[in-house]
Amino acid sequence: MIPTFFSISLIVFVIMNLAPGKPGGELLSAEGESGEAGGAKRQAYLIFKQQFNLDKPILFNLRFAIKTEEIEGYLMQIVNEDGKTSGKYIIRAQDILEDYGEYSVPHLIKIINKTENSKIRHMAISYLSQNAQRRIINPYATELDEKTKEENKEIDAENLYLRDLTYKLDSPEEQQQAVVQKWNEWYDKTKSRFAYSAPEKVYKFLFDTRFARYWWNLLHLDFGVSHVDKQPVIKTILSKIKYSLSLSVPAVFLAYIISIPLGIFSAVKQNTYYDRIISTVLFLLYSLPSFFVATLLLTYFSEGGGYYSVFPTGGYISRNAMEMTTLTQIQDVLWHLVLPLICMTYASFASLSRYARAGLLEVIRSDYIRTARAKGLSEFMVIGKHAVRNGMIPIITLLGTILPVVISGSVIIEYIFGIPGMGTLSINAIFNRDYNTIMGIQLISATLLLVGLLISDILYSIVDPRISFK
Amino acid sequence: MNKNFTLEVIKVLLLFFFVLLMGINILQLNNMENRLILSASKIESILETNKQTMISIEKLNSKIQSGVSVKNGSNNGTEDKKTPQPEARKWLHPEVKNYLVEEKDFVLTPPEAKTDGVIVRYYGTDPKGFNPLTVNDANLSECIKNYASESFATHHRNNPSLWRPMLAERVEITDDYKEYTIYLRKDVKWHKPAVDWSNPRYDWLKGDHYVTSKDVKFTIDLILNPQVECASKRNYYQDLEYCKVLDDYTVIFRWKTKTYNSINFTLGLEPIPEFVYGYDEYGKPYPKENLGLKFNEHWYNMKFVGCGAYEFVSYEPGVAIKLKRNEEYYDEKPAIKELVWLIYGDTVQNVLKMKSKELDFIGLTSTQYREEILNGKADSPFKNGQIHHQKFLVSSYSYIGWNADNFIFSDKRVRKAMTYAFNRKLLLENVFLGLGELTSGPFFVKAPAYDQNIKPYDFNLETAKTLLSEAGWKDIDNDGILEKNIKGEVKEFEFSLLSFGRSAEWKAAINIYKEDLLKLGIKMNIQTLDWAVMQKRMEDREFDAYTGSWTLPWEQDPYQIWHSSQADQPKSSNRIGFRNKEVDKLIEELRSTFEQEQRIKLYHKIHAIIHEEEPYTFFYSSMAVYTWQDYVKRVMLSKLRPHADSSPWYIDKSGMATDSGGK
Repeated sequence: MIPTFFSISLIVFVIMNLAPGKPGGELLSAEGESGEAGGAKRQAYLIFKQQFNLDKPILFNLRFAIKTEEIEGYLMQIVNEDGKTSGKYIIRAQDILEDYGEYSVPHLIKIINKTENSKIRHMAISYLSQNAQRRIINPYATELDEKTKEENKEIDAENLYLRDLTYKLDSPEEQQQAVVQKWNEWYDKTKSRFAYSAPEKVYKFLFDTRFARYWWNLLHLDFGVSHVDKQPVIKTILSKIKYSLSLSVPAVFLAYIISIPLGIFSAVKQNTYYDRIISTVLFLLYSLPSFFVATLLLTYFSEGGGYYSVFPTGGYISRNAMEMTTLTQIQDVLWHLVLPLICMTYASFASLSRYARAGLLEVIRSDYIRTARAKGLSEFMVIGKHAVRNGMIPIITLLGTILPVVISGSVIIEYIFGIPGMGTLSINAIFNRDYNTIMGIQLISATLLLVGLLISDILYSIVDPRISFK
Repeated sequence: MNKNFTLEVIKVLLLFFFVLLMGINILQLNNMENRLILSASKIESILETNKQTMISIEKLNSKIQSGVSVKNGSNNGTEDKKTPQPEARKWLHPEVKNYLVEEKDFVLTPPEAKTDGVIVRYYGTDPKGFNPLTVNDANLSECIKNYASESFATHHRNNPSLWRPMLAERVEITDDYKEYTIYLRKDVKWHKPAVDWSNPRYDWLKGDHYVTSKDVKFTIDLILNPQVECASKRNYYQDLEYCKVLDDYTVIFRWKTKTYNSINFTLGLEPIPEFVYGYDEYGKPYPKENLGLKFNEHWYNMKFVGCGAYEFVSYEPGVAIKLKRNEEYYDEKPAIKELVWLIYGDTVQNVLKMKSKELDFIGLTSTQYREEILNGKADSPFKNGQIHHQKFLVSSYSYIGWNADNFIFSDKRVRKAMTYAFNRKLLLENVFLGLGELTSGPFFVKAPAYDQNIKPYDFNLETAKTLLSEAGWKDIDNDGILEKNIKGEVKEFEFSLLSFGRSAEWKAAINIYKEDLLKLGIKMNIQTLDWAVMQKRMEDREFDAYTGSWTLPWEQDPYQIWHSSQADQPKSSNRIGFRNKEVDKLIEELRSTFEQEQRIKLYHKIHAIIHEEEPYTFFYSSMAVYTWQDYVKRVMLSKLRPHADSSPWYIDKSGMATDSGGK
């Protein structure tokens, strides 16, 4: 189970990181962009990248092996002296240099000592003052011990010093040289920080990456915080589960309650008109897309729809719920759930009742049923006691696979009816490129799927004594 | 056998009895709860009236005291002790005129207004929290910030070039517009944080907290702190030399350079409360070295503390945001008591909820406008007077942006030709249902910056053709597509247009445009994209052209979109790479010009050049269709954002039958 889980997370992670679009863009209103809000500048974006490890390579880290020439090339692109580089490449080069972080420091030091070009030196120093800064240890922890606090203060002081260790492009040569001198002094002191031994390199290669960091947090059962609202993902998911559960548990229950008797009925009356009518109707329902039915139901049966104003127009509970007693609250929620429930159940009648029918048909033909009939038992006893019990085994397996669906909710139905459950959460997370939330939801449903399969296996052996794990 | 049978019967009877008991029990409990809720609401209303009376008693008290002192003064002759009155404040520069002007020509609550009622509106998606600095969401600022947060001063409603006092009672500006002395009112309290007061953990938040200059300094420090994710705001204050606290209620802002925007940024600053944002959940102050990072994910981010006319009550993700009137507000209070925004993603519900009176005010999408108002049945509430509607020009414009770094669109004749080929008038009238006004330049059509004499280019394929051939585009191989010989290489006129995929109108418009371009021999490929992908492509400059729109403030600084220094900035708004030395100069001049007439002249010059260069094909300023229930009275839409500010409105349901009265 654990290797399966690991590979699921690996696949989801890689696909997500390769998908076009990236998080942290100023995701404004969906209709367009707002003039006042454009132009977020690099620095804040860098902090954002660092918080979510987006500045790290995805799977493997080879950055300790970058060449000075490569960095110089990027610098040249950014300086863009001949004006030939288009904005696209300049932006890319800036992104890359930022991401290189500490790995670029020794190279940048080399460049500022070597280069003749004052513009490149200036640019190198401005990147140096940014990349040489160290990150505060555990900046998001709630409690830190004294030692870390001291260390953090030190780091902060050094960062402040480095942040201002730059000059303006048009400042006099002596001042420029002085700054370069100061950088050299600083580098001599901290050289050991940037020289990596072989084991350190192996460690960096494997573990200073996005995926490794993510897994390290997962091992602590930490799903991270959402990119969007900065709240812990697990907290958000837990707060949404109740909405989805109250929708999907009754839905599954209803689907089973209705479709199993239908299946049994059509198995018993196999190939009669009843059977055919049931099948036709169920398949008709099955072929109606739920978003279509949902909109129809809303326009015809909801308040404001004008035809049969019976049910509320979406939502989970009325606004004045605080002034209701528990009983009326329950009633109110149920009232809100009627239409979504209809949409969620009708389509599964077809498949479930088909399973029930097929399972029963298989059993009905077997010898012991003939024996039971020969014993003189009533038809009701034969079907109800002997056949149904055995015929329903495949249905039980299905129950196990339903578990993840129950938790992750129905995206479309929840969206249309405005129910703030897991479905709405996941669709919004995808729209916002909220990696941590998507990962959280995916991993939880992957785990539930695995657990569900396990449960159905166990149930199998309990219901059917012929199956055992020996 | 017999005995067993009776036992069974007894069992069944007992079971039945217990079920009955349980049912009665539940009913009783329900009844009790009902009474509890009733009495709770009664207690609440009593508390409310108590509070009101306390406030009025206090007012009376202070009146009596000041009255007494005046009397004493008149009795004792000239010499008297001055009681601390607001007039007694000392100004640093008494000779300077107060920059703020009281707004006298506007009545917020007319006497006939009912000071009660709830207004329910729609909110599209869950906000990304309510952090006052890091959350940069136009929707949210229209909802929360406008009502709950307050700045030093704000624009007059009728004359946006004047400022009226809010948190500041007086502002002195030096002649060079570099130094602002701000005198805060002394009677403004922060709202009570919306925490669970029964939990002793929040005891440290109790008590009254006044808005002081400490909060102002705290806010500015946070904005300038590179750890805080508010880069666009930080950009505004880049030229701030210092912000100095003189005493608890006086602050000085000094700017390095004389820039016009400093007025907006200084007077428009909304302070945030230090007593909440400087501390963690247990009341411990954050250490300096990670205050910024902690602030980004502050424990209070899902709630909001301000000092405005409405205070934050609750936010339930996916359900609703609620605000209620701040009864301790220092200024005239708005009439509506409670503001509610329902949160759901699907706009289909909008119209339904409007018809069932669950919502009181919404904007319609253009499809809904067509279905409900243009083609609506006569007996529908939108037509029979139950729901009013008004079309309102929103300060924004839509456009097609041409990538100036692309070899095709680097020539202004080509860009102009593209505009001539775009049948804007027809599209606006037929596809966009006439909901808008054509625009010819980068400013809002109704703003003074917009030169009304510059008319949009007409649709004319012939002119377009001549322009193209002047630029060297000819059909060399007679395949119907134009070609040009660029450095020995023959290239076809083919490009792709990125378009945000959700708008059906835009889709239709672009397809018509495509046909028209094909008549000229231009091949346009349309790529409809998801917003996040489109944004990435634009940031990486991987596009030939795109459709977009800008929302604009009343007085716009064109620097962000049009200055050439922004062309090579990552994530900048000058994505098309517009570089024009003359415009650069004008923009810089505009930034340091303060005289209105001169500014308008400069704006008009910029408009003219941009119209000539045509870096965008300007399309139209869109109209929003706002609808509201009949019982929402005195609806006025404001020139400035947020257009639908409900402060002057009021709710009067008295004329209504009370049968359905929405939920």
